Amino acid sequence: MTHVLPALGPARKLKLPRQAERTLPNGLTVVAVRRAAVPLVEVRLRVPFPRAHLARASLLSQSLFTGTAGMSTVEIAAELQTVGGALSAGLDPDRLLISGNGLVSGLDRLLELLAEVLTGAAYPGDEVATERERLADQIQLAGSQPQHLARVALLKRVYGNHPYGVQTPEAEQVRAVRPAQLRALHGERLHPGGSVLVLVGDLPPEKALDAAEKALGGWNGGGKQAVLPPAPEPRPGPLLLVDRPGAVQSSLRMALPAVPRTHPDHAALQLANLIFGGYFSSRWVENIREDKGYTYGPNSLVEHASAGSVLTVNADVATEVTAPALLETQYELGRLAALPPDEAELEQARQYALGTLLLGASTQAGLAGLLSTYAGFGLRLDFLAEHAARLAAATRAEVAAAAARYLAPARAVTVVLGDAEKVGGPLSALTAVEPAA
Amino acid sequence: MTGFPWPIETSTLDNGLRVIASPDHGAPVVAVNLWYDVGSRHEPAGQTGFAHLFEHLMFEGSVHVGKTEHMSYVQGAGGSLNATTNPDRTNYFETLPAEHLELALWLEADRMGGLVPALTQEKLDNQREVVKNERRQRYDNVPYGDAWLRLLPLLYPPGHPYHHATIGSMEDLNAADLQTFKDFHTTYYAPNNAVLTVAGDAEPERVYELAKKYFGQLPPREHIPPAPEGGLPKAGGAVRQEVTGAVPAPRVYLSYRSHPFGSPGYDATTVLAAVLGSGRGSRLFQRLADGRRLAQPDNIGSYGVDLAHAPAPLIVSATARPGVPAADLEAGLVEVVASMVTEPVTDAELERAKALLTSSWWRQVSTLGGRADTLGRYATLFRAPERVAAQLDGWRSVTAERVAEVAAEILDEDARVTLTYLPEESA
Repeated sequence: MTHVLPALGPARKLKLPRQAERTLPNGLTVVAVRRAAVPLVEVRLRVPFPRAHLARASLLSQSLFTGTAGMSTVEIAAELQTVGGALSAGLDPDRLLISGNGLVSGLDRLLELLAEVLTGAAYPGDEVATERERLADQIQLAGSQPQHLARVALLKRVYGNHPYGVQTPEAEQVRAVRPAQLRALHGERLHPGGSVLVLVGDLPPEKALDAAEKALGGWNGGGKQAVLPPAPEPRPGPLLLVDRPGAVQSSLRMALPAVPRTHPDHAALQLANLIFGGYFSSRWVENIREDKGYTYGPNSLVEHASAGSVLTVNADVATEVTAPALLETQYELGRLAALPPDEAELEQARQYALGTLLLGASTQAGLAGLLSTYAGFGLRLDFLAEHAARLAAATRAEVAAAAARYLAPARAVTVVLGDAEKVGGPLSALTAVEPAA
Repeated sequence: MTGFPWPIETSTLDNGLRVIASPDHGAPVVAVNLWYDVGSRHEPAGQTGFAHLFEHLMFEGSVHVGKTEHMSYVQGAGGSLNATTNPDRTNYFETLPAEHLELALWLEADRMGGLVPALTQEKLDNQREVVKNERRQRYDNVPYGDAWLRLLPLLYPPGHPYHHATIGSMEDLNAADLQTFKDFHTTYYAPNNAVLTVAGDAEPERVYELAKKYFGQLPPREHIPPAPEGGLPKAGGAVRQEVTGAVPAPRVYLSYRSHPFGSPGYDATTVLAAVLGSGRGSRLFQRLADGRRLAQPDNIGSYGVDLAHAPAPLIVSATARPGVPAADLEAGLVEVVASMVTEPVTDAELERAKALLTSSWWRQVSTLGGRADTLGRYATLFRAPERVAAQLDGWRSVTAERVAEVAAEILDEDARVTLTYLPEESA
């Protein structure tokens, strides 16, 4: 066996695939990229959807494929499956996203079915009733899951009355939604203006654009555009303790300020977050998982939304080590905010960030997701190369400055969901604790 | 069309390590994958969960790699990595920029050949705690989360290699000592018990050269004890279990023993499962979620679990709509399952099922990591990596008659395992 770490081969350049783009007369922008790995095509349609009525928008996204004038829900699904495909819709406070994939030989059919639904979704009463119950049940089920409850508490604490503050409707609000309200919301908000369709697969980009124009050129409808107010920055305060009697684990959640992708500090912040806890080989994961075994899968990440970005820190820890886990988390945040990182750990984080970009862009699904996400911020694939250049150039001083500015534990909003009787005392030895109402 | 339009080149080192190279220069990325022919089926009573806990220990350093350095080297090279354990095998894999291929092979060789001297009590204790948290997070703290843990002992008798779930029992893990884990590595982590696959931007000659350089001097292991036999006696009647707990609605699982993964019977079972329960076009969805409205539209379906060393499980499940008693849901499921024997599968059903299997196959091999893992699987299980190319045709050639035949054979109500979850308040 050879005992020495092998030297690197020469780095191979990231080659961006060629993209083609066309804005149709109805306002829909179509972006197509060829990636010839397998005979599939990935489809993402992003429709801006901010400030929509939450319960209605949630039920709309779940009922979109339940029938048109000419087709039942089962017919739509079975037709999609006949081209090996599936389409589904998902919602966040910024957009409605329809995503799916299928055999590339079935692209025309896939787009026809998409158009059928966009222009003719009927929201049949019995189907809406089914989806309404299903969504209400999912929300009730989520209400029994600690990860969900902790997220809800954190969002409320960070965003307050901003539309980002509540991202899941109450089951009762969903049960009150009527099919006519869904039809009205669809007419008002599901229109091609401002929407972006991304197609990635084993076909020439121009051909993909033509297929999209043929199928979706007739999608129309005016409607309103809504704009979100800027999201507030996290405002630090006492730790919010949400009681879950008998819990075997505590969910620790923190939010810290962050900047959008195009901000000059973004690359340095991303690197600082990686060094702290953003990947497995980070200080925090090494500390609370590898050294102490407090948790299975801790993570910290920068989350971008159109009205603002935030850095979140998430760990589910055994009840008896809740306060020690918070202590170590504050310590690692503080250590990076107060002292510059080593050159070696910065290099490692930098290589990880660059490699992740490369790997993410190497599959059809990865590329489609990236393109669609970028499009939501007005960016295109060339941003990938620009961001890679900024990651490559960020200096130790810049990363230290970003850590001091954004990772300071004094700026964190902290929420713990757990057995308050067991964890409340130890936590209040570390910080001010406020029980949730 | 073949299901694997990329080259498959193979070579075997003198110590028995089988090496597969599958070049694709579409992106400057390589995937490295090692299948070790050891899984939870090898664990004797009292040592359940060992294969999986061992997988964790493989990331804790080896003779030339410090604790946690394995991760930091790969991630520091821009790569991603992981490992999984199931009843059949343990796999380790990383995808990274192509220029770092050599690093990945060096790391994998170091932990294949040099893990034991680096294993300490402190590492064992630490990873034992991590695994306990994994069990809480994935199985114990989740409604219906332990269904798989309950089904296995009902499907397979004591002493059978699939009798227990891979996560194992916490009691067994607590009792484990360091020497047992050292012996585990010595016994199973040998070059002649593994398959190394490299897919992506690397030429086969280069892969063989590097494999020889880093793995070539590791000694083979003479005798590797086989897992217990996976044969099954004729089922001795239907089995039922009811669980009352913190679940939001009744859920019913029906399960059957089918055929081992890789056999023509299992290919037919896979098509059967897709017709019966894959997506909204399936019989289960159309009849129970849409038609009679007994089941919620979520979590209704059927699928085979791809295990190769004994008749693999076919699992059918559904969750009751509000107000629907578990018994009604169960009766509905039983009726739709029986229809697979009595009502011929239509051309449209067959076409839909095959299109779904085709697109899911392409998704599986669309990433280099998925491709390398699939090659490693066929090489380990059947000693024939080239069989990957035939899998798609294996499904496509299944006829309606064949589905009916397999349905009649495996969907026997005397061999059915029924697991029912009931919410606490209705108890």
